[in-house]
Amino acid sequence: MPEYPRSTDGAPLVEVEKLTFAYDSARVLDVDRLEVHRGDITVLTGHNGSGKTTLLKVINGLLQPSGGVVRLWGESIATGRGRRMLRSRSVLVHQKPYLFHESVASNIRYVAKLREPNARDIEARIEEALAVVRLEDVAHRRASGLSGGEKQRIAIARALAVRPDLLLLDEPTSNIDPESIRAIERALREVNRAGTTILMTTHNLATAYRLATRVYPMTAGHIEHDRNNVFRGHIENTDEYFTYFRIGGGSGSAGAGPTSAATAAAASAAAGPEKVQATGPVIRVPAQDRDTVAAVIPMDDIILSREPFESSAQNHFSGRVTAIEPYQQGRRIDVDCDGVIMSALITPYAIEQLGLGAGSEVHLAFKASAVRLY
Amino acid sequence: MGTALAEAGALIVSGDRELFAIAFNSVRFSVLSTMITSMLAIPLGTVIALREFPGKRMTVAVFNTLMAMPTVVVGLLVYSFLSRSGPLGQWGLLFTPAAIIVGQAVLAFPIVTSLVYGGLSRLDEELTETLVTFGASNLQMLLKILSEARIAILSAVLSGFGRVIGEVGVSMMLGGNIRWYTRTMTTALALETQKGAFALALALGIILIIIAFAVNAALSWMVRREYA
Repeated sequence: MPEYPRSTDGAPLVEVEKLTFAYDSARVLDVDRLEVHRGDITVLTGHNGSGKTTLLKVINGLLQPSGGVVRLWGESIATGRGRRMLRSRSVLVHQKPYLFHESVASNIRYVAKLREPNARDIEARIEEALAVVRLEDVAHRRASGLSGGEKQRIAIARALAVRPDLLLLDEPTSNIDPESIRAIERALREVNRAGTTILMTTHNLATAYRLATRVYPMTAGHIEHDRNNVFRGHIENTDEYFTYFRIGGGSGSAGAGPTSAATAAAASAAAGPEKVQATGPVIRVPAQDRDTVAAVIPMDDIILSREPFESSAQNHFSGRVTAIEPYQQGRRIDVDCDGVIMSALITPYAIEQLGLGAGSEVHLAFKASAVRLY
Repeated sequence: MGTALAEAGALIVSGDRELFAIAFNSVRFSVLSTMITSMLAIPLGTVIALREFPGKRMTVAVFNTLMAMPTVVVGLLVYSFLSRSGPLGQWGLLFTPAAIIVGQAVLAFPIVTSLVYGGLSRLDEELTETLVTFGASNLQMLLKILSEARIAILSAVLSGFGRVIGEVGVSMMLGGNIRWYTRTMTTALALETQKGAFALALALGIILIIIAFAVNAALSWMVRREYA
C-alpha cells in the first residue's frame, strides 16, 4: 500500500499523547503516553473500570477524545487521511462481539466486501480466517447458534479476513472455554508472526504472560509506565500465580541483572551502569534485544529441593523459607534468597515429603525459558 | 348456539359467496392500509431511533400514547377531514373503501412507528461500532441495521395489521358498512349479531381468529428460524 507513509523502523505504529476522555464531567481516561510498536503484542491489563476498553475505542475512533491526540503511522486519526488509514488498516474486536444474524461465512464475507468490494479471493479468505481460529467446519452454521467461545473466535476470524495491519482486541479470552482460549492465543500468535501488530486488553494475566511482548497495567484511566509491579496488583485475582522481579534493583526491591552473554544488551539498556551492581540474585533469562524492566516467572515453574542439586535449569538459588501460605489447593512458599523473596507453588504433600517449615534451608531452580521480560 | 356453530361451519366449508367476499374485502383494506402506513412509519421510526434531536423523548412518549388511541377517535378525526364540509370533502372519499384504508393507516401509524423505534433502539451498541470499525459508509450502515432488525420491523408491521384487521370503529364510521362495498368482517359481525343471525357472525369470527392465529404463527416461526 504505497499511498500510505510507512513509519521508519523503530517508530511506533500507534502513538497516544496526553489523551483524555470524559463521560459527562467524569474523567475516565488520562493517558500521558502510549506507544505500540510494529510487530508487537502490546497488552493493557487492569481491573474493570480501569479505562482499558475506553482507551481501545478512542484509539479506534469509536469515541472522540476530550483532549490529546492518537496517531497511526505518524498521522493523527482526527485528520481525513488518518481516519482513512484507521478504517482501512485497523479493526477492533469487542469483548462481546456482535455477529450479524446470518451464517458465519456471510458474516465474514460482508465485512471483507466492505473493505475491498472488488476482492476476488473472498471465499479463500473466509476459509483461511476460519482455519486460523480452528473453526473450519462452522462456515455454514448460523452465527447466533454458536457458543460464547466460538462467537469470539468467529469475531476474530472476521477481523482477520480484512487483513488488518493493526488488530485491537478487547478482552478476547474473558469468560470463554479453555479450548477457545487456546485457539485464540494460537491464532493471535500466528497472525502476529505473519506481521499483524496487536494491541489488546485483558484481565487474564495468564493470557498476558503467554502472549505479550509488552504489558502496561492500567489503573483509574492511567497507564502505569513503571512496570515493576505489572503483576503484583493482580495476583489475588487470577488462577495462575507469578513471582516477579524488577531488573536493576533499587531500595527494597529485588535486583536481578541478566548475565548470559545473549542478554547483555538487555542489561545495559535497562539497568544503566550503577544498577548492574544491584544486590540480590542474578537471573538468567532468554535472549532479548529490547529494554526490559521486569522479569516474571510463574510460581508453578519453580522447583524446590532440600539438597543442592544440578540440572539443566539455568537458574539455581538457595535461601530460607520465610512463609508457607495456603493458595487454592496448594501452598505458596516464600523463600528469602539473598534478600529477595521468590515464591513457589507446591502441594502440601511435597511440603511434607521435603519436611519444609519456616526457616528451612531450601534450594530452588527454574529454567531461563520460564522467565518473561517486560 | 350449537346449531349456529354448525351452520357457521357449513357456511365456511361451502364457501359462501358473501362470507368470503366480506373476508376478502377486510383483508384487502387492512393489507393496503398496513402497507401505506409502513412506508411512512418504518422510515420515521428509524429516524427517531438512530438520530439524536431535541424533544426525542417527548416524541417517543407521544407515539407510545397514540398507540392506544381509540378507533372511534381516529374515525372521528378522519371523518372531519373527509366529510363534505371537511378540507378534503371534494374528493368524495367518505363511505368508500379508500376512506377505510386511510382511517386504518392513521390508526396503525403510531403502532408501527413506535414498534420500529423500539426494535431498532434495542439493537446492541456493538452493532454500530462493528460497522464503523470495518469502515461501512452511512448508507451501508443504515441498510445493515435495518437488515439486523428485520424481524422486529416485520413484527411491527404485523402488529399494525393485527390492529386494523380487528377494528370496528374506523370501518363503521368511515366505510358505512355498505353491503358488497365497504362491509368488513368486523362491521358485518356487529350487524349480524344485532340481527340475531349468529351463524354468519360466528363464521366471520372464526375466520378472524384464524387470520390472527396465522399471522402470529408466521411471526413466531420467523423468530425461531432467526434465533435458533
